[in-house]
Amino acid sequence: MLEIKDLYVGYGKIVAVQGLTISVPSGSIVALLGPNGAGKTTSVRAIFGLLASSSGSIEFRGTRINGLSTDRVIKKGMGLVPQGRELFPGLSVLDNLLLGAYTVSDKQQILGALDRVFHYFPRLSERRKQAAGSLSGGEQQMLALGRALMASPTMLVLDEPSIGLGPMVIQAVFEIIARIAREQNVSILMAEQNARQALRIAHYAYVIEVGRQVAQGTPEKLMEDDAIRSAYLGTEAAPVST
Amino acid sequence: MSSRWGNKAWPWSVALVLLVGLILLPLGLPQFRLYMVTLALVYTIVAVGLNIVMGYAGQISIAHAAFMGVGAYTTALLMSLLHWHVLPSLLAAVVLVTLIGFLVGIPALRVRGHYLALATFAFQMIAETVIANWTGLTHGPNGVKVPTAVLGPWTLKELPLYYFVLLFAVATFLFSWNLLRSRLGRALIAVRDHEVAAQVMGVNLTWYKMLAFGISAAYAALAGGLFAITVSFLDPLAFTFWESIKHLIMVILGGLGTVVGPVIGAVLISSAPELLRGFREHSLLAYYAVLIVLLIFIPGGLLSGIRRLAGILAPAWIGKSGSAVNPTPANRVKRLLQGYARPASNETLLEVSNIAIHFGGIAALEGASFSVAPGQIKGLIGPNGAGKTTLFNVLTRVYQPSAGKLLFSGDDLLGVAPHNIVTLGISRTFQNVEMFSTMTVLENVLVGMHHTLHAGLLASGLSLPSQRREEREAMRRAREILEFLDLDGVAGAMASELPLGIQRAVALARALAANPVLLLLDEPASGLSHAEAGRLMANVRAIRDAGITVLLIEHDMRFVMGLCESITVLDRGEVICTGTPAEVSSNPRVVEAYLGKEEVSHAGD
Amino acid sequence: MTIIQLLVNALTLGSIYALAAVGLVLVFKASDLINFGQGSLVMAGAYVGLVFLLSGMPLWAVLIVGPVAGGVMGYLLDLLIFRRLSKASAWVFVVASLGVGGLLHELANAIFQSNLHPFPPLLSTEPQQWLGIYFTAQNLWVPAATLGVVACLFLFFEYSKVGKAMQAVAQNRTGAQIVGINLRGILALTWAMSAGISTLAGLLVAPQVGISPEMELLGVKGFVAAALGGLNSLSGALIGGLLVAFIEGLTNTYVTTAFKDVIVFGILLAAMWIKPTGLFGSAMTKRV
Repeated sequence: MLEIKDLYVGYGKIVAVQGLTISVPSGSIVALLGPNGAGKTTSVRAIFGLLASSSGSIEFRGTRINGLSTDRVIKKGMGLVPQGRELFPGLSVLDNLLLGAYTVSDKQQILGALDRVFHYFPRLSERRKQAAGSLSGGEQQMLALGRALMASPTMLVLDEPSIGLGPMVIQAVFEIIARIAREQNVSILMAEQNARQALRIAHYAYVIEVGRQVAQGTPEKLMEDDAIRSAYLGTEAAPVST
Repeated sequence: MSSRWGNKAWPWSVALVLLVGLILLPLGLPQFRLYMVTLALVYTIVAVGLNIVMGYAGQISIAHAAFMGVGAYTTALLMSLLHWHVLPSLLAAVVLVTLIGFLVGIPALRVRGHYLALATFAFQMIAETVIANWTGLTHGPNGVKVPTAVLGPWTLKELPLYYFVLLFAVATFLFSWNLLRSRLGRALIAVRDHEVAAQVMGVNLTWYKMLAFGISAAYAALAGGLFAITVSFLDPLAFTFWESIKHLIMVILGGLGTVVGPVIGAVLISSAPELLRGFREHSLLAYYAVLIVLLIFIPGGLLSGIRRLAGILAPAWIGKSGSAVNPTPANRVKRLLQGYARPASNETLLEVSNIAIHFGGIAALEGASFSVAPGQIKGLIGPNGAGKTTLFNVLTRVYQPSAGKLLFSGDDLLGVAPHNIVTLGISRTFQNVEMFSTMTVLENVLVGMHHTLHAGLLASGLSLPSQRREEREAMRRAREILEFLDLDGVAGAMASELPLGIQRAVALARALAANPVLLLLDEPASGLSHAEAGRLMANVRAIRDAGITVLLIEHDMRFVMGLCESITVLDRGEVICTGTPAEVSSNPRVVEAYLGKEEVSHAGD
Repeated sequence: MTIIQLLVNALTLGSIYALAAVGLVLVFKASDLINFGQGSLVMAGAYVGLVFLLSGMPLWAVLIVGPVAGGVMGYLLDLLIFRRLSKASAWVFVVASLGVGGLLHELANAIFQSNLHPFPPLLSTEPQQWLGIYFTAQNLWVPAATLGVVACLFLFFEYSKVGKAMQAVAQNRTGAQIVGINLRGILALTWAMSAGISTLAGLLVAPQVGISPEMELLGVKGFVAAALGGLNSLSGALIGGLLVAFIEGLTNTYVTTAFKDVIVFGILLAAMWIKPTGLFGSAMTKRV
């Protein structure tokens, strides 16, 4: 579904991402792992046309999307749940969701999407008139997810969905992500620091560090490799006697 | 924003040639052109002064024509009505306008940017209305005739006037040049780039903002007085809102934030009417059109445009991204940092009791209590939103708690102003690094040293030997600290252009430069690679061994457990446990709150 | 003169200040920038309307076509100038907006010279009397039109997709980009609306003061109104406008005319000292 080949992103003299090659097959959940500053967010932003200078090829369903403006990328069927949520704090939950469907003109489609979002996130339905800025961290993440779903995307890209959330909430959020992927047949690319949680639901994962790809494989394979495991995935190793 | 002229010393030969040129220039110039050049010099004084408040302190002012006007009229009236000599008149004008400048700058203390712009705009309108309408004093549109100034044997007209003005222009330029390369200049830029970080480093925001405003008003007043004796006839039209805009244009067009830029801008703008004379009655139109075009194509100002043309590029940073762990010999580190740490007593170093703070009804901290013993490496952990950074902000007085006590070596911290915390011995790093983005790595570290340096306004402006000695010593210490953290290769690079790992190291260097007894580190390992985190651990241990106590917030459990001797756990604003790593990791409450349900480490489905 | 009479007198001018302030607030809310050339926009807009009037268009049509043309002017300013400065620092924008203001001023001077052009009022300026208070039909029509415009704006923001998109852009640019809102389009629209409303302000005040390049000063008072009411509050702009006009009127009556500007700007200064965010604006707090 999404094919990235040899992505290069630079800011002036700083190379943020180099030679990234990722493939997200239709219907799968792919994780992009690595510590903060590794280049995950940069890659995500490049996909959505939020960055000026990138080269390499990014193809979505066979069409090249490099350099397309953000709204065109979204219209092609990709949704983004950005790092930091980026909600509209002064607008209501409902307004935030409806804005998610900004690029959709069919009213019926919008109402259908709204129904689906409230089905997955009943708490949002309860709080639909509340200002987005007054929601808790977990609720905001759900709103961001819901907003991305409003345009009925065939692929969802999530950037660090676990940031700022407590462990219990993170687990819930990831479970919902997995459910949505399954039930709505949405492919998922997820950039995450929290490797542990991401690998529980991912089918495949790529690991990048300092802008370069350093490993890839199924979760089992990555966990088995001790060196990779302790260096990149052990950052939240539970010291509790296991 | 364009950076200053690198860290290369201004080639003295070039400056000398320019100076000689300026001295020889008027010989042989027709009187009219001499008059224009003299005026251009006057405007350079205003522009350089305006740059101090705008380019350095980052505060905007649309009132400089008013300051100039008040300075001009004060000088003129003192000379014509009270028959004062020119020098005391100038002095009186400067003093008066500086005081007014302080007053007008008061909003700068509380709000930035737009609001200050509006305040200065208001003052400008008030001043120009008063000047135009207080006919009793200023004769309104009829203007004031300025008596010819006499200085000793010289009548200040034409050539002697030119040299008189030149003297002041060069003196004020040199003063600001020195100032802006001193600790005061760094402090101003720190205030502009990141107020909170500057405060934490010991910069008294109020004082510096007022200082910037005051100096720039003083410069404008001086320029006004010189303007008065040059034009010899004052009328209100010379000090309107549109003139203020001209001043802004001079600074921004020439290059905001550079010392030389405004001079270029001033010369250009004041000669603009001449340059655009071809357009005759539409010269002003051409003037604005050219201005807009220049802004669109060279927003960094002419100086940056020139630099680009000359191909001078920002220095590329040369550094390693941290390969093998490279431990500095233990005794050398100890020597390096020992001179810095103050001896701590054997009692509790930091005592936090029942701290509570609320944001909009939600308790970010409630009844938080724990203590830090001297020489410890103490960890502060907890889920996101538990209140850890909030606690740091309370400790450094960025936030005021609603209840509780904070004792540091027995002293009550709650009465201390935020910029004085560092002088007591507490220094910190930030979760988001918060570099002073327009300064180099070395300069960032030097700002960290701010409170240990003492050169004042005059010493800095006049570049007195004592100040120069202090600066040399400071640079030496700064380089030593950078060496300790393997950063000496990037000392001249722009801090914000470096990779995150390096920036974190710079932040640590900056915090160490402040000579702390207690070092607060907010998520220092976040975003670091495995190797970088290992080096950081070694560095933190070395720091502790040199006598500095460390309190750190972290999420990386291996980092925390491996480094800290004592750990306090926060959850939802409350302390839920304090103890050794073993105790904390086996405490069920902690496990539940922070680590979640026990996870069986199987791979995903 | 009674307070009520003063209030009534202030209605017309207050509406103008309010409209100028609304133009400022629109741009500020959407892009966090203060357009220091706002006064000149009002003046330029009035000239645009004048051109239509002089070409023979009936007055009522001028009052509709004028603001639309003014909107086009605003759109062009954004397209040619402001859009290209979106990456530059805030100071550059300040100077650029001042530069644009100056440019418009000089253009007006060049094309129309600095003469005062009279402009006919839409409704009668015959003083009427009711319960001892004097007013004219103009006095009532201008505030009514202003209220109408503000009401339309309110409806636009609350109930239209584009209006919500504008609010979204004002609250979170990144978020707006992510849902596919065309930032450039919205910003262009914001400028067009701001210029259109400024034009209307210029045309509504023209009967009272005539059209000349010096009209800017009126638009400049819009700054005071916006600052008083809060730079990011539309309702604040309304109230601010009325307050400024009222205080001006008070000063005119009880103190000399020459110093009324001093008082008005003194208020601005005091407002910045005491409560910079204005009566209704919200402070923008920053968490470390």
